[in-house]
Parts: sequence; structure tokens; C-alpha cells
Amino acid sequence: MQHFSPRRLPLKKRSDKDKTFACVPFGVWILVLLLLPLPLLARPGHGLTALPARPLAPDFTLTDVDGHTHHLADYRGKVVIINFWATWCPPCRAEMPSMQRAWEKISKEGILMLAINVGQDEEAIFQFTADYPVEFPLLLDQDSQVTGKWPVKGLPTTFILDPLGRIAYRAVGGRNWDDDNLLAPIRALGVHPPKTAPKATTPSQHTASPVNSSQQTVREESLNQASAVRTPQ
Amino acid sequence: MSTMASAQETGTVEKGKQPETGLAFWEWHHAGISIKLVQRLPDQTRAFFLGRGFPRQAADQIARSCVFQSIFHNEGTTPLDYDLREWRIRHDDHTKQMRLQDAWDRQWRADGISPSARIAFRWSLLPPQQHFEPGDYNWGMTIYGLRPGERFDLELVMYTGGQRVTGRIPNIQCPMENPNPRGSP
Repeated sequence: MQHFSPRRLPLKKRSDKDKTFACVPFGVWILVLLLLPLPLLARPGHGLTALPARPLAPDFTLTDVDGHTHHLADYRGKVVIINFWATWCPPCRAEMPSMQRAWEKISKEGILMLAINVGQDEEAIFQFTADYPVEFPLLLDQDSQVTGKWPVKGLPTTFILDPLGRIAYRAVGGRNWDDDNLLAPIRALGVHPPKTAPKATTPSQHTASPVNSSQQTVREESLNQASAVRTPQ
Repeated sequence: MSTMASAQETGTVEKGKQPETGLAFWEWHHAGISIKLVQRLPDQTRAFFLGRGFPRQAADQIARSCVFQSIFHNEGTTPLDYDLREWRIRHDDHTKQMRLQDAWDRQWRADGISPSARIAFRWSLLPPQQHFEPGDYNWGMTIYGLRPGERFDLELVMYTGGQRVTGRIPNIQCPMENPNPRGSP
């Protein structure tokens, strides 16, 4: 569809361009607007935010698009990347190819990646994967009940769980997931798994209060020295 | 593309057009923080929500309520918090708040909109409150409750580095119903 983009048209006199635009039905413009510009606007974020309190991740049992059931507690002992997304979310779409490339790197290392779709059905995801083929599990949370138990406010949001099932890192907004600098602290979670038992806490919802965020206790960890990691201030 | 500096509020505002679509945008910047509002044509929004399962009448209502795609980045050095309940819309000497998720959801429930459509709507909007660490960002629609083509100022409030930061984006124009893609905002 790029040939509909005015920027890609060869340079012509204005009158010729006008004719070109006039030939494009309005409905086609709408289709272009729905599909083309938003991924182009998707400037990825960067880095991971460490959660020093390491709250225990809310458990779930969800089915993926292939019909397999995933019970989060069964993945204790593994580092798990959990991504919340939707097909209509531009930055979610933008980061999917990098997630697939990351998956090709880390799946051999025993790191698991689960992408939880919020509110859509198998048909919508099936259509999406025709354009964005991925090999990691795409889980269905059609009634968003699972998503509602996680500290997710916008899509995409991604959490990194340590082998004890605790949330170690968070990323709000898309990322270039195949960046080795971003993957380094994730890999390190598996290399140096924590030995203490998880606390029976749940991740608190973020609040808009800057006071609350600044009151979080900061625990220095060697992993946080990695360039891709920051600790909440 | 032009740049305007506000005398009273913090930050600068950049106004321009998306090169791929010709749609107008307004982007506010301050200390690595930015929020970009890109017009969404009513037909674009209508098609989106019809595709999510909204009935025609409800999709029309949203589409004609002045919708912008809103992209919020924190590329600064300190965490950022906002609460859309603190933001104000100034239009024709009146001031009002944005209509947020909960108010819309009450209407959708009263109108019998399906749960799946309501879920899609909820997650399509810019979160009413959010905490961004440096490097975080979010997208979402913001809805201003004005008619196509109307103009307004948006007063922004956020908190970063322990300080309250305010800004103003002046003279934003709601998307027109059937604009010329090359028309000026």
C-alpha cells in the first residue's frame, strides 16, 4: 500500500498530484490511515525498570491460539517474559517482529516468552499472525480478567519474571526486544537465580502520585548495574 | 511545521502534519517528555470501533467526539506521573474535563454494548493515570467531546522530578468529518 503514500509519489507538478489524489477513493484513504501511519509513528522505548520488591506475579491459567493450556505456576524455575498486547495496538504490532527475533535467541537458553492478548478472539489473532508470524505462545484473555490482576494500565506492557515467579522487571510501551543490551539482564536472571523463597505479595497498581513512586524502597542489586536497567526513583 | 513557545506554561509546542497522511498533529515537549496528539478522522475512528463490535450509533458518537491518537513518551531522566482528571479543555471561554474510561464505560453498559467491545474501548484509550519510568511510553486515544472542526486549548498537568509541571497546547483543531488529506489544520 505504500504506493498510496503521497511522500512516495514521484515528484510532479501540483496539478498532476491533485489528479493522483483525486483518483484514490476516500475509503482507500481510510484504509491507509487505519493501517499505514501508526506503526511508522511507533518510536520504541528503551530499558527495563527493576522492581526491587520483586512482587510475586499473579498466577493464571490461559489457553493459547493452538489450544494449549498454560499455567504460570508450572513455569517456576524459568525466566519468563510476559507481554500484554492487542492486534489493534500500533506499538504492540511494532514490537512483535523484535519479540520474534528475541525468541529465536533466548528460547534455546530456556527463557520463556508468553504474549497475552487482551480482549480479542482466536480469529483476530489468526489474521494478525498472517502478517506478523511468531512462534512463541499467544495466549487468549478474552474477558481481560487475567490482565486486570496484573499492574497493566496501557498496552503494550511487559514483565520479566525471575525463576521464583516474581516480577523482576517491567517495560511500559514497546521495545526492541532483540537488542542484546536489553536481553542481558533478562539472561542474567537465569544465570544467577535468587535462592530466597518468594514473598506472598502482589504487585501494586501504579498510582499517579509521584510521592508513592518515590517512597518505594530501593534495593541495590548487581544486575541493576546493567545499562538497560533502571531502578524506580 | 511551526514551533510556538508559551509564556506562562512550561514547554514548547510543535504543530505539523504527518507526512504519510497529511493529518495534523500537535506535540508538546519539555525536558525529554513529550505528548503528541494526532488527529483521527471520524471515519477512521468509526471503522475502528465498528471493527471492535460497537453498533453504528455508538461508533458514530465516539467518532464525532473529537478523537486524537495520543502518544506519551518519557525520555527524560526522572519518573513521570500524570492523571488525566487534572487536565482541562478550554473551548469558547468554557473549561471542562476530558471524558474518561469510567464515564464511557457506564454509558456503554447502560446502552448494552457487548463486553468484548467495552474491553476494546477501555484498552484503546490513553490510560487515565500512568507512571512512566525514563524510557517508557504509551499510546491511546483521547476524546475531547467537541464537534468536528472545533478548536480548543488543552492544559496539561504532570509530575516529574518531584515537581508539578503544567503546559498548554493552544488552538488544537478537532478532526473534520471529510477533510482533504492535504488540507491545512
